Amino acid sequence: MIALLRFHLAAGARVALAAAVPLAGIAVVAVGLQEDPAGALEQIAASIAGPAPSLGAIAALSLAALGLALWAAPRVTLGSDGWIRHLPLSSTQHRLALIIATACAEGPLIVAAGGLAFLESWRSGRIAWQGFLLPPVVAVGTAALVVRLRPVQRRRAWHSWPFASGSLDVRIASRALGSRVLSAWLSGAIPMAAAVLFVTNNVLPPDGARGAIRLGGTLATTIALAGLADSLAIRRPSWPWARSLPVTSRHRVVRDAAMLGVLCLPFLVASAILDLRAATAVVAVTPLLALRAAAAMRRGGDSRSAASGPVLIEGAFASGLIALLPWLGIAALAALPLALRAAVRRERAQKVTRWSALHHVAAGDTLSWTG
Amino acid sequence: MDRVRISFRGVRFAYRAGITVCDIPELDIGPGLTLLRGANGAGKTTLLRLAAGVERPDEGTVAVDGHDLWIDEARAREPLAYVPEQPDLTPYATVLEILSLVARVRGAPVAAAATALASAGLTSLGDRTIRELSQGQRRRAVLGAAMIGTPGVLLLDEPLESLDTEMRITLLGWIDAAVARGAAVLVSTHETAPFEGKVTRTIRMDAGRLQ
Repeated sequence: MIALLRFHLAAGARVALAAAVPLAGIAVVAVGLQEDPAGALEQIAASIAGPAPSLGAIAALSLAALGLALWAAPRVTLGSDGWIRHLPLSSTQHRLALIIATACAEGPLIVAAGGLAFLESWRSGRIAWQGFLLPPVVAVGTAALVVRLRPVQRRRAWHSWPFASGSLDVRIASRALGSRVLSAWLSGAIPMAAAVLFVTNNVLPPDGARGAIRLGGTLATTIALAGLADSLAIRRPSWPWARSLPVTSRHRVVRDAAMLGVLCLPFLVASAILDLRAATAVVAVTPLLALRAAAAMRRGGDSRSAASGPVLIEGAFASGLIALLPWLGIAALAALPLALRAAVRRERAQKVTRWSALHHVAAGDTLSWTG
Repeated sequence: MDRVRISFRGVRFAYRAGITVCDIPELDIGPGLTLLRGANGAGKTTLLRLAAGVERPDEGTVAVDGHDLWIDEARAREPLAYVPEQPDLTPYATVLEILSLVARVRGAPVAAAATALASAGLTSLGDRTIRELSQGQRRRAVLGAAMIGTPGVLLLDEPLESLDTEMRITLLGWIDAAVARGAAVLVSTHETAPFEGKVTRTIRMDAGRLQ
């Protein structure tokens, strides 16, 4: 049992480490944005670890713990229903080890709450026992609930998008992306909405309004492309066997770029609804961005950043330029052959059967945020 | 050699810089059954991947029927039928979709996909996505894909592995028929007994080099 616990705890600790940095960042930003950060921190500490803890604070802690457990459990329990079941251990022992490991993954929250209890003890001059004891109890409770109720992993058939009935490539991509295309659209909608709000709530000269729409539209396209390229690169990596079929590298690249470009249509349409003239520049730069995204998906295993990294950097740069100098849309169209050549070169240079480290972005990696 | 189907010239390939796993100064493969032999890790699978156009050599050229696999990409791949040791099919496609794709790109009638499905013994699984299949069924699917049309260059990596007796007999019969019609069949295998008396040539590899 101890060996099993240590085995699962290692996974729990890795998940906890993955969660720690973003959670700490959120906490620092949330407290830092208060008028009196030190006072706010003391107030939170008192509401959780004080002599009369607030019900709202406990509910918030429980909800945060539950959210973390829901995120951590699929990672901690990955593979726990397979080979490991043949080892001479009971189901109860397996479940207990998984609960403790999931609770361990909630470590950043326990540590943060412990820190607040320490602060409250120092401030009040007495040991805030409930502040030290409550978070671990909540963590174990939520972990037990989530592990107990976790769905049985089954291999289900995928469904294509309703409009993806023609090409096999589109069907494969649609199954790989699934509803992720919605999250890419939602992310892209943020700069688009910001542009709409900026234009409608300010009295701007026509050129200024068009510049804002071009910036919003190109940024929206960039962000959507980054999300889609990431998802496709992770969930639909190069298919080695298909490279033996009589299809050219150029064809594969163009196919991906075309599909990525088509998926950006909502932002092009939105830009056109806002201002047709501004939209022409966004439309002109989209094929280049889509080709760069198709190239970024083919960067191979040595890259330490996801496909979205270069897409976001190049796209943000292009957005600024297009906002200020709309005629650069023509230059973007002229650059298409060069971009295509670069993407094809990358497609050919890929070592598709080489083993690659996951770098925390692939399904099955306990450190992955996207897995 | 009466007709060269696959030719390697000055080929070097490394998965990681500085660690060459395949170094083939010159190799020509003609019609008939060629066995590729060597210990585990000798470079047999990499050689087949290079011949199939799955991996591109870092140096040198690989040509099929005189067409460079990385210059005249589609033309060079037209006669190829590649069966990898690990059936690395995309999990998102159904078996029938993959076979239909192969039928289309090889210019075979669409009905050939259904025939291949039956030959591979997967008739009832045509609508299943690849991830719903067992490893053995996935191998049958890639073998079914290879059997579509009349490919002139067969590249088979451990083709008999994880196949039942019935499928082995079908596969060996298909290889015999391909050799009889003048195809070049390159088989990487540790099992030589099933191919006895049929082999035109045996190539041995060790540490990425031809012996």
